[in-house]
Amino acid sequence: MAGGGGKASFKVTLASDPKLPFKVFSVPEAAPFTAVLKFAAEEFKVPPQTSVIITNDGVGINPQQSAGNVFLKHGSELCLIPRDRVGASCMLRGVWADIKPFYLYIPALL
Amino acid sequence: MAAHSNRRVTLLCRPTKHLSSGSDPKAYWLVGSPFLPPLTVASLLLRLSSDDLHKESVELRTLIPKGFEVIGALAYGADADAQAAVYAARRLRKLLYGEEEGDNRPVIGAVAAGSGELKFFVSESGKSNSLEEVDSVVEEEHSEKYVWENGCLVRCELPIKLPVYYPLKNTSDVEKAFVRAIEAVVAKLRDSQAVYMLEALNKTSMDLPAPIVIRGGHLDFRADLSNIWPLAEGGDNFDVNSLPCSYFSVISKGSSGFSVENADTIQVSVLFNSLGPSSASAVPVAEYIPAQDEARLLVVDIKLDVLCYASKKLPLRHAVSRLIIPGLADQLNALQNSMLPNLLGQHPQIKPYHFSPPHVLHPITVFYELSFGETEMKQVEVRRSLHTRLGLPFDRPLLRIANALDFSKLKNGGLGSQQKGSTLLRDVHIGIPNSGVSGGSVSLVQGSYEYFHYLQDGFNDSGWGCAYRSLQTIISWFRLQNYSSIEVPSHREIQQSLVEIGDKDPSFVGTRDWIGAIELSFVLDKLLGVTCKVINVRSGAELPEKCRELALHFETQGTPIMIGGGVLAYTLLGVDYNEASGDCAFLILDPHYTGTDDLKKIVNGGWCGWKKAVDSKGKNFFLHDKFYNLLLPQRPNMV
Repeated sequence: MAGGGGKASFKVTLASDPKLPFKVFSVPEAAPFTAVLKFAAEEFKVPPQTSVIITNDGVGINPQQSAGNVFLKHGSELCLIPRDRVGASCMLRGVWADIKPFYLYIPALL
Repeated sequence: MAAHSNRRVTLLCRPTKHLSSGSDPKAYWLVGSPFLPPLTVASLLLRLSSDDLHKESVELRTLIPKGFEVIGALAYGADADAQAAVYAARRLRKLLYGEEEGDNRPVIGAVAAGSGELKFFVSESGKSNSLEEVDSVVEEEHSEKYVWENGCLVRCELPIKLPVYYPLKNTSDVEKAFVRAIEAVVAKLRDSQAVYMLEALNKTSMDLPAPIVIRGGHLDFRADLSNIWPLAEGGDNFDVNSLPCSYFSVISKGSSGFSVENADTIQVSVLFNSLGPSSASAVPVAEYIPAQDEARLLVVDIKLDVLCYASKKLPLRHAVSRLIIPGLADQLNALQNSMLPNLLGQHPQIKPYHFSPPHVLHPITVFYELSFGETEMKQVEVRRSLHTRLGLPFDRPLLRIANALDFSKLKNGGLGSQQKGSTLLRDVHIGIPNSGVSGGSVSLVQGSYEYFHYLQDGFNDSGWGCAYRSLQTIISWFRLQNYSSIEVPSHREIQQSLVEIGDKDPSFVGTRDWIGAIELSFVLDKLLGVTCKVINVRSGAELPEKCRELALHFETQGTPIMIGGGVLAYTLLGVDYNEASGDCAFLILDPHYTGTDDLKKIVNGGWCGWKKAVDSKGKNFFLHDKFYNLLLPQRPNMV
């Protein structure tokens, strides 16, 4: 898994699948690492906004770096995991969605 | 073969912990005390300079508090030689304490061959070269009690503004004038007109014994500290000169335990009696010394602060004459040497600090030069070198000014925060009921944190802010362990950070949007420079399998963990894990709590408590159909 000719290659494993399928991606070194995240998410058919790439050791990678930087700092063995979004019970979200803006309840004035 | 000695070596520390296998030959100094039985080793200090003994003596002179002393040396390595170790120790003692090499104090020479097996030899007298092997080596179990049950601390703070006059024509004379001025101060400390006032440090609000005044004329500068005869008890006359240090002991100890922080501390103030006893009345007189040429005044600002260890049986006047005054003199000489190069320029801002680092039985005193702040490279080097000498880990700040012993505050045993105005509870997990896992071993977060939860600061984040609150708890941990001094960020500041690194659009700020473990790792990296590890499990059912890894995290890193999954965020503070049976429990700090900061309510309501993966009613704590991300912050490698 080398980065030659200005390109960086990564082997990305989909962690959420018990079979641990993986794909190899090659991107220009200068490309933002978000490109790798996007390609990987598309290939594995998961939404990129709710996925993140970490190293095989579990170290988080900030996608706002160049692919070349990530390759130098973390190597090429990576994992794609889903992002958790946590707040509290779903019920509360439903309640806010049901309340309409107050002015809609005011009868139109003549 | 060496003859065998009847003596016994008592080990209060564990030398084998310091010795790492397969490294270069090392030498250590063994530290003991004249107040402890002979050949009692209280601590080990790594010898940093293998050829320059003079440099070692300069550094150790003010590092080791008076009341402790170098009593031997340990050589580690394939060529370890006890005779060489003893010789080095005797030469160091001569440099430090002015002892002649033919002195009759027993000195330990210890060797540890590559296998780590320790052998102790004692040299009874400096006159002969014979060594005797010590067969009886005892490892003391309750080292802190051993040292502090019959010991106390004596402290003296002495700020001095030293006037130095030097001729303008010959500015190089200023150095001579400075040295003379320092010598004059040292002489004045030993003068019979000096007066020392001793009082107990007000640690509790109990009634304290009255302060004691000791006059310089009654001091004995040659008293032998290791030969303290118990003084005659009772007697009708209250003789100040025969009072022991135990006069200032606080009576009730309670269950606070024995340690440097809990030790009785006697505060000494230096005063000078300028009016001698004189029967003749006289007219006020001003003395003056005419200067030969135009002269200038230089004022040198000196801060002295000595901390000494004394046995409670030691008479107070010997504590002053043999501990405090030599300590002050040593500090003056050390300061003189650091000020000399720059007397006419910018004076370095040097101040002494006392520390009680973990796993070191005695306090240490360090001089820090603070003109450029603590993170300046030279200061980092100074701290790293101290960490090396004391065998402290390199991944945590232990000798920063924020870690220094603070003698000013009253002892406060509660869980309330000691910051001004902060009402946050700290370390709410202390004292909670058992986890219910039998035969398990508990691994907990190391250090302090503050409990952040919903609705604090009058901020309504109920229903969406739990991950933010967990992040605030984690950041408070890094603050309290002195890794960072940034304020704990608000929800808005956290959102702003995520926008600034490009993970979120600017419209994110001010919303009630949820975040998760990954966002937390980005914020920790941006605001604190902390890297994190992420553990992802496909189902909550897999979490018990991760217990061993989580236990290892708490043992090595000791940072709080954030768990995100199934729409809820939790902070994990520890695991209780029985390897054999697989039974486990998780110490959860719940950020969803919406009540007041009342410790009883929090513990009784289970908002901080041990949760088993499956509770007694069969209900799962972690959802089996949801994935979980665990965020494990790593300690940055910094001192």
